Amino acid sequence: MSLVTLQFGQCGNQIGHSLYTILQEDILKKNSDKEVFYWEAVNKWFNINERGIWEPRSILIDTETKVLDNFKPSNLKFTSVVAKSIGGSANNWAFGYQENSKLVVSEVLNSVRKEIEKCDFLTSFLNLYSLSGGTGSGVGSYIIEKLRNEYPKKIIINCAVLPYVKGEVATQAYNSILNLAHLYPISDSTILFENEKMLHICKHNLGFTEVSFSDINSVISQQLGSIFQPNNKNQITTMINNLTAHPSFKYLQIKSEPNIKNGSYTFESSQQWSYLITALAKQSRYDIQQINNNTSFKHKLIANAVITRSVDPIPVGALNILRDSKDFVSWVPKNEQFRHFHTCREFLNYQKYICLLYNSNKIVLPLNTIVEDAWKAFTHGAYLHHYNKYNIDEDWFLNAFQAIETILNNYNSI
Amino acid sequence: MSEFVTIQVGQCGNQIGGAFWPQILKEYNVSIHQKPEKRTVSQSVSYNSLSSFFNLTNLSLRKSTECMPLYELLNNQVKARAVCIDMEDSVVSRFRTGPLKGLFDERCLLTNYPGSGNNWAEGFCEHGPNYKAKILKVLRHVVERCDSLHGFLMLFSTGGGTGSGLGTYVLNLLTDNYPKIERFVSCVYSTGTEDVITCPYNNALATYQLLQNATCVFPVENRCLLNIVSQKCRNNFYTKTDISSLFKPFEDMNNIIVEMLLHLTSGSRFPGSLNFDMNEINTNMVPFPQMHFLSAGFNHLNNSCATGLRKSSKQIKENNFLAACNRSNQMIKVEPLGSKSILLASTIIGRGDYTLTDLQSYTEKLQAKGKFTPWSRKCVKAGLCSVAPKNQSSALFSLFNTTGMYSLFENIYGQYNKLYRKKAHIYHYQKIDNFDSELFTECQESLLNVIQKYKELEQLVPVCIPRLKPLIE
Repeated sequence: MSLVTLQFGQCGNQIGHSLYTILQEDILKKNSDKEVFYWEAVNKWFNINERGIWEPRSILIDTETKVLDNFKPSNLKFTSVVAKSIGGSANNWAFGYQENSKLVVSEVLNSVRKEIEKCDFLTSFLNLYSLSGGTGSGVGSYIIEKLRNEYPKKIIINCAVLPYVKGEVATQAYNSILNLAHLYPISDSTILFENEKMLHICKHNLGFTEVSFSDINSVISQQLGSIFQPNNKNQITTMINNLTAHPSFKYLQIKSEPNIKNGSYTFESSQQWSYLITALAKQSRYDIQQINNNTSFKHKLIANAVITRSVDPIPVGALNILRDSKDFVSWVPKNEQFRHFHTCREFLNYQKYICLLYNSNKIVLPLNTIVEDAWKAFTHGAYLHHYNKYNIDEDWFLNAFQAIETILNNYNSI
Repeated sequence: MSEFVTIQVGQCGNQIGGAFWPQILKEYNVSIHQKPEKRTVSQSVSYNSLSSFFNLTNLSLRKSTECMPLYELLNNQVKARAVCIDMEDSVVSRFRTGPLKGLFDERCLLTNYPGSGNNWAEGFCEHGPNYKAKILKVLRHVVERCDSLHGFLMLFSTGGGTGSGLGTYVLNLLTDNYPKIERFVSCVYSTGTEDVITCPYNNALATYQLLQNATCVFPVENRCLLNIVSQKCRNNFYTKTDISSLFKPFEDMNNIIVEMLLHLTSGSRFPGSLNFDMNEINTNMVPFPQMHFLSAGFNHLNNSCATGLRKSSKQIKENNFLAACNRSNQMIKVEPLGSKSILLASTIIGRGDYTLTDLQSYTEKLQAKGKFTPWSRKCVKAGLCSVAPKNQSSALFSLFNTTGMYSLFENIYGQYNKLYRKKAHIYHYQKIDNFDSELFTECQESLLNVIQKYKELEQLVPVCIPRLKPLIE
C-alpha cells in the first residue's frame, strides 16, 4: 500500500520536505511493535535503495531551481526532481497552466510512472501545493488533470494551502478560484489548509513570537503525517469515501491536538484522553472569531474521521462528544458519519495524538472572502490582461466563478 | 536560476552601470581589489546565484563556495552579461581599462563618435536604424549564452540624445525580436535639473516609447535623488566621517540608483523562504496595461551610523519599513501614503532577518494607512530574500503603483507643451531624415491618455455587480 506524492511550487516543496522528514523521524523512532508497522510505513512512503538510502516516493516539481537548491542535505534522497530553471510562473495561474506546465508535463508523468513501478500496490496520489502562486496552482492544475486521465481509478487527494486573507500576492484570489474550480471535478477530495489558522496555532498555541514558514509547514506536515501514517484498518480509500459521501462536498479540513509549546511537552505528559477530545470538540478560538464575524453562519457537519495514536487505549465512550454532535446532517447514515481509527503506537514524541479530519460547511468562510476579492477585481477588470495574454479569457473566469459559487451554495444549503 | 541581460545606453546609463557592477560583485563577496574580503558565515552566498547577471562558462565554479578576488573570476571566463552602447567613447572606454577591465565582453561594447547632440530624433531615427544590424548581432550574441533568459534590464536617462533616443530604439528592437522576454527599464528623468534645452522634448518622446514597449519602468527623478543626497550629507555631517565623501553628488546619486537596482533584483539572485522573482513584479504591480510606472522606496540612511544610538533589530526593521513608505525616500516625487495617492498595488520585500510575522504586520499597517481602490486593498505582494545587502543586517524595499504617478506625466507634458506651443527648437528634430512629425502629436495624445487613465482611477466609482448565481441542478 503505497502513496505517491507530487510537490508543486515553493510551498508544496517546502511542505513535502518537512512531511517526509517528520515521517522518517516517526518511523525510525524506537518502538515496541517495530516490525509490522515499520515495514508497512516504510513501504507506504519510501523506497529503500540498495545502498540503504531512503528515497521518498515523491516527485518534486518546480519552475525555479533556487528553492530546491536551498534545502539542507538530509538523510533523505529525493530522486525524482523535475525542476526546470524557467524562472517561475510569475504568480500567474494562466502562465503556469498554459505555458510552464507543458514544458514539464512529460517528464513529470514519466517520473510518476517510474515511482509507481517501484511500488507494490499504489492506492493514491497526494498533491501538495499552495493556491496563491503561479507554479503550485497553475502547473499543479494541469498536471493533476493529466494524472487523472492517466490513472482514472486511483484516488487523488489534494492538499492546498489557502492564501492569507490580508494578501500576499496581488493575484492570489484569481489564482485560487481558477485552481479550485479546475480541480474540483477531477479530484476525489481536497484538504484545505488556512494559512491564517496555522499562523494562529503557531502564535497562540505553540507560543512562537516570530513565526517562520518552517513552523507553519511543520504543523501542516504533522497533521498530514498523523492522518496518513498506516493505522490498523489502514484504508485511505474507506476514509476518503466516508468523508466525501456526496460529490458536491469534497473539501476537508484538519484539526489536531495537542498543540503545545515545543519543549514543554514533558511537563504536560499527564494529559488525559478526555481533555484532548474536549479540546478538539470545542471550536478553536480562531474559528469562533470567524463565526462571530458572520452571524448568519450555522455549523453543519457531513462527516468526521478521528485518528488517534497512542499506546493508551481510549476509554469507552470518550469519543461520544464527537460522535453524537448535533451538527451532523441528517441524510448521512449514523454509522457513516463518524469513523474512528486507533493505532497502538505513539506518533513522534507525543504520548497521545488525536487528529480530526472533517467535512463541514466551515470551509465556506475562507472561500467566501476569496470569491469576494476575486469578484471585486474581476468586475473592475483589474489584472485581466495578464491572463488574457495566455488565452484565459473572461468566459473562462466566469465559468470558474460559477463553479465556485455552486460549491459554496451547496455547502451553504446543507 | 533566472538570467538577466543588462543594457546600458548613453552616458548616464553607462555611468550607472559602472557603479552597478562593482556593487553587485560586492554582494557576492567578490572584491574588485586583489585581496579577498573576509567571508561572514551569515551571508554565505552560493556562486550559483552569480549566473543571474554573469556568464559562467566554467561549470566547476558553480560548486565552489570559496570567495575569490575578481581576477580569479576573470581567469575562469566569468563575464558580465551586459551590453554597453554609447555614441561617445569616453565612458565605455573606462570599462576597457579601469578596475573592471576584462569583466565585459569586448564584443558587447558598442561605441561611436560624436554623440547624438542631445537630440532624441538623432538617436532614435538616425543612429538606431544605422546600428540596427550591429545591435541585433550583439543582442543575439548575449542571448545565445543564456540558459533561461528572463528579462532585459535597461539603464538610460531620458533627457539626452543617445540614452533617450537610442535607448528607446533598442527597447523597440527587443519588443520585436524577443516579445516574450520581459523588459525592465530604469530611467533617469532630469526634472528639476534640466541642463539641456531640448530636454522636455526628449523626455516626452522617450516616455511615449516607454509607455508602449516596456514591461515595467522604474523612473528616477533627479530632484528626488538630489534631496536624498543632501539628506544623506546632512546626516554624514553630524556623524562626522570624512569630508571628501560629502561632495560627490553624481557618484552618490548613481549609487542610490544602483542600490535600488540591487534591491530590485535581489529576489531573482538570492533565495528566500517566500521567494520573489522579477517576473512577478509585472503580474502583481500592473493591474491595467500601460500603468507600469512604479515608484520604488527604501531607507537610504544606514541605521547603524545614522543615529549613533544602537537600536534593537526590531526597531531597525520597523524604521526601514516606515522609511520605505516615506515620500522623501521615493525615487520620484509621489507620496504613496499621502492624500492624493490611491494605491493600485504595492510590494514589500524584506531582505535579511525579516520574518513572516514582520511582513504581516507591515501589510496590515500599510492597509490601514494607505488609500485604495475598491479592489486593490489586498493587492500587496510580500517577499522575503534571505541575503541582506552588504554591511547591513536588514533592508526593506518597497514598490508602489499609485495614481499619484500622473504628476510625473503632467510634469513631462507641461514642460513639453511650453516649448511645443511656440514650436521652439522643433526644426532640430524635423531636419532628421526619418523623423515623422506625427510622433509629436502621438506622443502628446499618449501622455494625455495616461494622465486621464490615472485620474479616472482616482475618482473611480465602485462597480457593483452582484455575484453570480449558483447553478442549481
